[in-house]
Amino acid sequence: MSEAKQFKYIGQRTIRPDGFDKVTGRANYGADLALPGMIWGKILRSPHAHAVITKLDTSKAEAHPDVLAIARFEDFPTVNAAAFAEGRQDSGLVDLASNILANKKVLYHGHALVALAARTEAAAAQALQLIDVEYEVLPPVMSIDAAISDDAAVLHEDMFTQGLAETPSIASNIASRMELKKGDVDAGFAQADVIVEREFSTPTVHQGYIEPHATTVRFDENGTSTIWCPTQGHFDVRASTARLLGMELGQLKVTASEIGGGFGGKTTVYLEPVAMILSRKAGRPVKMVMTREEVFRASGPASASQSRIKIGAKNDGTLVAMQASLYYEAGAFKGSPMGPGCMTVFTPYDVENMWVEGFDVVVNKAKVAAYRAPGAPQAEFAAEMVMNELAEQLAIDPIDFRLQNAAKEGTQTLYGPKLKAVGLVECLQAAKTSQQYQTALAEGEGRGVAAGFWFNIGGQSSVIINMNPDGTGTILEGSPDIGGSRASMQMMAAEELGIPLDRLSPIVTDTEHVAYNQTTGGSRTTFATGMAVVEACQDIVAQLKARAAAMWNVTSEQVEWQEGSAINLAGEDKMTLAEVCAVAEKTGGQISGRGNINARGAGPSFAVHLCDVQVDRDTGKTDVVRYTAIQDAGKAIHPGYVEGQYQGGAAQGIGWALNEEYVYDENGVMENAGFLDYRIPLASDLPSIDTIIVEVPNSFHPYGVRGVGETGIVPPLAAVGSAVSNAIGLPITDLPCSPPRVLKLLQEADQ
Amino acid sequence: MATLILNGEFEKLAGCTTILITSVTYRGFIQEIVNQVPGLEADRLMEMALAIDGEIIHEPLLVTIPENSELHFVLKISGG
Repeated sequence: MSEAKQFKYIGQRTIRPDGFDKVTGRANYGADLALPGMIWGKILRSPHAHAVITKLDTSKAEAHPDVLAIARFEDFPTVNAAAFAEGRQDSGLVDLASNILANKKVLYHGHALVALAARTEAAAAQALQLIDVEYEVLPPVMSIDAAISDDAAVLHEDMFTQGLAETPSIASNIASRMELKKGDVDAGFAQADVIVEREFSTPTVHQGYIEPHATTVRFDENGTSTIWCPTQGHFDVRASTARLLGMELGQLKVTASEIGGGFGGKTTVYLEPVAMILSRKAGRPVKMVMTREEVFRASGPASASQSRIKIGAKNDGTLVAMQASLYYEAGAFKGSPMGPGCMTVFTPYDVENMWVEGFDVVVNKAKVAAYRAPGAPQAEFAAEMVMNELAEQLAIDPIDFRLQNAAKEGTQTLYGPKLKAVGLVECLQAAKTSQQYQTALAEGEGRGVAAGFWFNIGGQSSVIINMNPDGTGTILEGSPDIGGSRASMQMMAAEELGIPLDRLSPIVTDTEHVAYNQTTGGSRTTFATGMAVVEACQDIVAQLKARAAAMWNVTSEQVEWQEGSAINLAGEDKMTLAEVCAVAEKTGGQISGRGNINARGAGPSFAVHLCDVQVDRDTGKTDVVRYTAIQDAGKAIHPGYVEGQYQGGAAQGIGWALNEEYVYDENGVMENAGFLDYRIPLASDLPSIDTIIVEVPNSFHPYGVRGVGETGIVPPLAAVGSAVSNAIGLPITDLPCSPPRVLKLLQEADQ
Repeated sequence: MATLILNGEFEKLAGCTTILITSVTYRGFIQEIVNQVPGLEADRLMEMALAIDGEIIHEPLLVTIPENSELHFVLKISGG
């Protein structure tokens, strides 16, 4: 890692390279592409939350004069029940295909059954009505309690709980169980002077991205088929579509459009494989765009959860034992973020004795997808609420309580490895001295404190930098920009090469022009793709030195690169980068640099949030009056973008805590599938969210970077929950703290 | 020698919390565990990330296991 020094560009608030196009409307998003001859795809969706498909007759729709293609589950050539039954098929692939288009059973209201493509959007919608479907309706399973009850309807007859001592012989809605242990919790609790044990719940919530899923696809029977879509990972769109349809990767090119939000919800595929089937059958490009209602009903929300947390401490504030049972809803198919939830729940604390068990439970809701630190907000909400209650019982300041027990370098985590240098202590100290924490609460206000943790990841990133003869350059990278990463890549490249920012153009290119890049997620991009950019720049610098050496007739070792110029150590010559590039033709050809890595050493990020609220006891409405988000960024390449991540995570977490939830009727139908009734925070709902950037460098990154995109959603749930609890003087155990729920608590307390 | 520290399902299968590892290659390391713990399959282990002295490595195929290092199997995390 570069030693701490004065950087020219790193740490500055530069103008974002994508800003002009976005504010003028020139930026092209997922639904913006139209192709000659394009037709429209639409999906028929299940009106039932749980049913067997007894009849599916598309003949009348196929006879519609404007319908050119129909797609059903059977059109996935590589997903074959017989192969699966013989153990030759990947159950994950079958689940993916079955979620995209239902296979014999519909498992949630809105589950896609069949798709068709027609000459116009209106004709497609009309033709859907001609599809004849009959169902055997089954009881919907809509909660964890319902799913694990002895008489629950079973969603999958072939699901037998994994992770038990003996695999059961009776099918269940519990897909798997896991357990983590450190020390001896029973012995730990025996030492406790105070124990708090509580149960908590969090609802199903949506990532709330403004841009619906959309795609335009053209199948090419002779060459390369193309997909245009908003996605966090166009290489994985390519991989999934190719796997499902039996195509070679080289036959498929995916271009990531600009993206109007993802937050984890655009890390999988819904429309793209379907559109490809339709395009192949119709011989025409196909466009599909989800409505807002479809996004809510049929994309991937975040897991609802139920938790039981038990924490013990001594009177002096020393934590002695921590225990958790965590249940996560996976939706219709297995695969909730139960694992990360179990791993993160107690990670902010250095405690000898811990025990956690987790359960992955299927229910008749849309299959969940990732949402910013998936699994962690639900688990750490519960743990942090208990921590605050313990602090209150012990009469210890909640920040001091956390400082006394904080995880730090060398702390053994519950999931195994010891932490390297991390910034939780620094975040807590910053919280304690912050303006908000020094501000006295007004009458009726309540304050909440919470910590949060997320691992962050590295992974594969590939970058090519092409230098032009005039010394400008193009950075070709494959990480869709969901949070300002193009600016960060530009800044790191400018710093490495020593040239002005505006000489470098960062471009997110398609899957043909750069090697594989892992999905933008896991807070990996500035870290991993940044490292690839640095590697590509170092490749370029080596070539620039060699070219200058050739011009001066010296060796490369006699050339140094300083502030954008080659310096001849054996003489007095100097050549700028532009001058070296101008003679590239004479010295061996044009100059390109490459960085293809599988980045290791991602540094985790801790955060501490402070929330002050005022609760209207007549209506139950909560107003956030002050909020501070403090988080360790390692090194903030662009502080403005880092602050934006902190504020965005806080806003989403506040919405999760205060208002957001999927409301279902007794038939498992979502009743609030629109932004009017699914209430995310508006700008007018929130105060200015203050931010404090802590920087404890990650030694594995050249500039000390830690990912920051996800941790910020973790603390708000408990920060808000505790603040509301303090304001009304009653425990909060179930989110959201919406006005009806808070009012009910107040009214019940009055009685 | 390095020390592999087990947790959860793997600890129960092995019947112990630690296993001493002599191999310096990842493949050799996996083979040692499979040889010592009946019921633990190589494919299952190779789905996991490996932490070496606190650094979590998602693709450890080419790593060298350092002497006296502490090893943990960790779920691969993807994120959102």
